[in-house]
Amino acid sequence: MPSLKFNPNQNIIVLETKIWGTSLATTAQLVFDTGASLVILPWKIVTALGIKIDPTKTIQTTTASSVETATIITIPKISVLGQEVKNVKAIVKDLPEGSGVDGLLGLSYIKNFNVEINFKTGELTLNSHK
Amino acid sequence: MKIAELKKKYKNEWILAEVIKEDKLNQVTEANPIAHSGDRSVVYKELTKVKGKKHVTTIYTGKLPQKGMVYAFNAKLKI
Repeated sequence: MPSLKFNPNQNIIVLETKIWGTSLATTAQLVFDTGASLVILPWKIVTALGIKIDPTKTIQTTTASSVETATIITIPKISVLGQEVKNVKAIVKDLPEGSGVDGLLGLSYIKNFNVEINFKTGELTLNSHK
Repeated sequence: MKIAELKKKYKNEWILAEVIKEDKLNQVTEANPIAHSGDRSVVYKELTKVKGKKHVTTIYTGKLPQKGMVYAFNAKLKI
């Protein structure tokens, strides 16, 4: 079972997330966020990966403070802790500069796994449904 | 360069680096720096210039969250 040791005293869990584009692959720092329906990636990373952005494909997103329109894309492949998922839906949006992370790892990826988080030992485990 | 060395050399900065080695859990263990800056947009701009079949990584070496900040992400989908 692939698992990650994290600092339980830190109030976010950041996962190294490998994202494949058309030619380039990048490992980005994404916050594990079950409150986000979709993965969120910044514009520049999506552009660098060569992932097709169709500006007509948008969705309404409800945030803590407002309702916004965001562009939706399909990421060819994402891997976290060696667990690959293909064709993952994501929205393109830049998180604030001061966040210190690239984006969010939302449910469009997480829902593919049984997730165990042990805050006592600081361990996150992704178990495949299969 | 080992990731620990990279983080020590470029403290409180964003780094763009080419991945040399990763473990089976996709944790980057060695990478060569391409660009570094305290400004994330500078590193992202350099990222868009990377060409070819490469594997790169972006890393922030500062404290998370930054002093005086907490996280409250929320992006629930409304269909």
